[in-house]
Amino acid sequence: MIEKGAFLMKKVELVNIGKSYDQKTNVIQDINVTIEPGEFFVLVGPSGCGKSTMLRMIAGLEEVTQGELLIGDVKANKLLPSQRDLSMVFQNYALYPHLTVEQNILFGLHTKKISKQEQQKRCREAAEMLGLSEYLKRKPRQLSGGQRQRVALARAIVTHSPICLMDEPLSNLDAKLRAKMRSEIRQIQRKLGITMIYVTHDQTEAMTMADRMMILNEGNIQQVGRPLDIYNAPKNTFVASFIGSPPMNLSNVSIENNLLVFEDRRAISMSTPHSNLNGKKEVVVGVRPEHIQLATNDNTSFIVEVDNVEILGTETLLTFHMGDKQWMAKWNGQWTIKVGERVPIFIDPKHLFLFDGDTGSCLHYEPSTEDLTVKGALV
Amino acid sequence: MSAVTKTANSPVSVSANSKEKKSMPTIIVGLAYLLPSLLLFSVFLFYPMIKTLYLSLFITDTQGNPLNFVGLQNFLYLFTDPNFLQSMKATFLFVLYTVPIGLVIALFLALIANEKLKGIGFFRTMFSSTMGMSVAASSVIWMFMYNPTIGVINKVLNLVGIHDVQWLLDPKYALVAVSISTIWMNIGFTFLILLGGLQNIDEKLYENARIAGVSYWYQLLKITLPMLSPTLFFIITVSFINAFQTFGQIDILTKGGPTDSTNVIVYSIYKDAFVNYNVGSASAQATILFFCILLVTALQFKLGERKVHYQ
Amino acid sequence: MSITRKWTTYLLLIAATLVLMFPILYAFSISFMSGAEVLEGKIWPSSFSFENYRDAFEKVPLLHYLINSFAVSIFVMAGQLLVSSLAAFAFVFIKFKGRDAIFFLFISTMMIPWEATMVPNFLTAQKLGWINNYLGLTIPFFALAFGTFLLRQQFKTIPNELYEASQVAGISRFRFFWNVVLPVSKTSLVTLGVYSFLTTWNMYLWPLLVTNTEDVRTVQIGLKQMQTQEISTDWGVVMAAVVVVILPTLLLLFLGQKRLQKGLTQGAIK
Repeated sequence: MIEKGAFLMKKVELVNIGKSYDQKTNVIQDINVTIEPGEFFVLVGPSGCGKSTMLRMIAGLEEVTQGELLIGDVKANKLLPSQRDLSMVFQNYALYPHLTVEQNILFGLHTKKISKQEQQKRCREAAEMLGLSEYLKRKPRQLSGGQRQRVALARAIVTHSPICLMDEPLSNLDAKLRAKMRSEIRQIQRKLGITMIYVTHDQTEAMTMADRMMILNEGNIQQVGRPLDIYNAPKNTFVASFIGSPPMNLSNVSIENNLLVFEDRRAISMSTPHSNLNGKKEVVVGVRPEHIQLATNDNTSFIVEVDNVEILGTETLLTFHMGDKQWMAKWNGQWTIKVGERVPIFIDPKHLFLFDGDTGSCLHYEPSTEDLTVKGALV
Repeated sequence: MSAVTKTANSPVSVSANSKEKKSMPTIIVGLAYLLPSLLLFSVFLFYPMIKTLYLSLFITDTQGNPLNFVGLQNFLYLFTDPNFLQSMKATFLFVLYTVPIGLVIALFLALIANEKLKGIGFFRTMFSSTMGMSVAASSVIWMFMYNPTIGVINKVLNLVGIHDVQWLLDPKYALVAVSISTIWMNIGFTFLILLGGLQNIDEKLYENARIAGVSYWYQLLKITLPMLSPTLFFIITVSFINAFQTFGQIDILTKGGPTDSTNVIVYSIYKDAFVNYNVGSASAQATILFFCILLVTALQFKLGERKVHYQ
Repeated sequence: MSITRKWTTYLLLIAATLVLMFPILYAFSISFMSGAEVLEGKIWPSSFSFENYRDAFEKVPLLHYLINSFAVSIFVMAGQLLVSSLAAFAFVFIKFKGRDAIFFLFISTMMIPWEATMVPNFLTAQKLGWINNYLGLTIPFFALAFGTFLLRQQFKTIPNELYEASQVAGISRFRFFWNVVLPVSKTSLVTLGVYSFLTTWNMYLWPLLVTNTEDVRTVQIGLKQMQTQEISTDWGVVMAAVVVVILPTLLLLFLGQKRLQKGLTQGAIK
């Protein structure tokens, strides 16, 4: 049994990190973040945002062109990958087809100068933890995608490295398997106390797995923080629409007399006049689908015509037009609504976000006051 | 197919049969496209192969016409003929000298040319350049270099105190000399194939090794060579077969001599058929060549398949 | 990678290039030297002169040989492209019984060493009157199993829907072949064409057998002939001739090296 804290914990610091391939244009710039020891940290963003490159810079597979990288308080820019005391799990697993599962797991372990017995012991423990004990003598081509993924994970674990880097490890698995592995990876990380830096383009993975996450777009940090904090207080329209499924509804509005007026001249009132809008008249309003409710008689914000209905069993998604965009509402339960029906909806102004029309940055929002906890049940 | 009438009231629509072309059965069309190839193969490959096998069982006249049926006598004679045995020895030695060494050198070149360095494209082109050299041209150049008096090779050896070597005239060295020039000629092709094989290896396998911290040699032995095995297998097979079929450089450099030390099998066939007009014997040797190659290929497939690691 | 590793690699690369290219560079160098300089054993000419080249063309019918080689190589290239593409087309787009058996037959031709057939082939060529004739040098080589495989591989990437659409539109098979399949496969055809040209240009044994006069002698045999003439000791002239012979193929190789490597690798591994 591997005990918690058996792995020495280390933190990773990025100070003004930037990356450029041709000394002219930067693919990544001004990255400043400290990843705490034992933290599950997720780098998330759309394809091409630079998250993989950043991970590879931490690994030492790519050169850091600007800034300082510190691993465990030691400057690591010039260190070889093998000197950084980390392990890595690749998207396509990078298993050696000609070696058995056991040999794959133990690959390279001999460089850590531990005895053969210790190597075998670690292999057994890792295999047990990941349910691979029966497959040790098999070759990768005899395993399923999910099993191969576990072998890659086992290979990382046996190194007992304090930092583990994962580059989109689940993207080649089907949705069900992904959900299962997400939970398993998280549990293993908690159990072993490894600092895990995890790259993904899937915001669901980020939200469910991260202690904290960093959202990247085009090489720039959009926001860093805990998942719920980001969800409830996105700093700009990019984060607002990237995190959350279905994404936050956004529309251009103009402010007239304390009203937010949409392009089709419908309007909703703002809760209180705001001073930090800098006199802006053109803003972007945002509201999450779950905050668009069926109106009760005296509380209607708008009447909308339903364009599309999707019933998912636990909830119903309605699509309708709002201003210049199509918005979605998410209601709990299975609602019978026909396309074309006119439905009254209510949006509580306190759920409105206001973003700058030019920069996209958040101008105003009201912090969430929800605080749901379970009081100890009476036995 | 005729169009079906809809109802009794509507006019009967006549089938379009009269307009439809009767399409030829596909087998005829298929064979038509294959005809040129099949014809040429039949005339210039299958027929001659069979004829060779046939002629090997006869004693022939100088025109190549079979005279007396002698069964396997030609073969039996060959197996006791010192000339033929010498020829086989020369051929096997030649294969032994050229295939392994050529492979190792080309592999070395492929490994260093596979690195991501600036200007590596130039070096890759340079290393493949021997592929653009014909056997005749290469042989003439090497002939000049092997020249005992003014050849550059002996000049260099003289510098380190070695006397002029009669590269092409000394039975001890002639086969080695031809082998060296053959290795040189084949490097371009072997290099290109091996380079292609190296580039097909997943980069991430090496990245993982770098993170683990294994040495360059460990990576070479445990990752590169195993992953390269399909390519190695292919190249060894092709090199073997090519080596058996060597002719051009022998014709220019040594003409089979001195004292038959470089009289490899194809040259021997050529001499017997076109210089000595002994078509029966030549055909028997050609038959032996055919079976040798068949055996080598079959062996390599059997052995190779087991060891090759496919992904 | 580390600095030492980088420089060691560069060193090895340069050293290997020098050793490997030496014979070729040496031949170039000698071709510009005078006879006296060659006998002195110098490596580099003191002055560059094209005299050897002039001699090569005058003392030996080099131009004639070049034209022959060029003609033969072009014919064989065209022939191989046509015959192989027709066959590849049949294997991919025309489904008929026995197609697989015939394909297996094609594979078997790769097993037959050409040298085992050369004697009867010579006799055949003789009977047909193809000795000392372009026909004898070209036609036997039009059918190429390797070429058929290469093109078959390429043709298979053409979606069958394209073919079906052409059938529905009433276009004949041949039209489809000529106007759709061939243009789309240009790259593979070029690769095969270059390969054909190169291998035919370099052919030795067969041209040796079927030419015994100067009429259609190719340039490779021309080189060999020079060994029997008095200029065989005039190494400067000989090297000039060699350079002329290798120049076209070296150029082709340098231009198409990347393409060739990819094409060969695909053919090898598949």
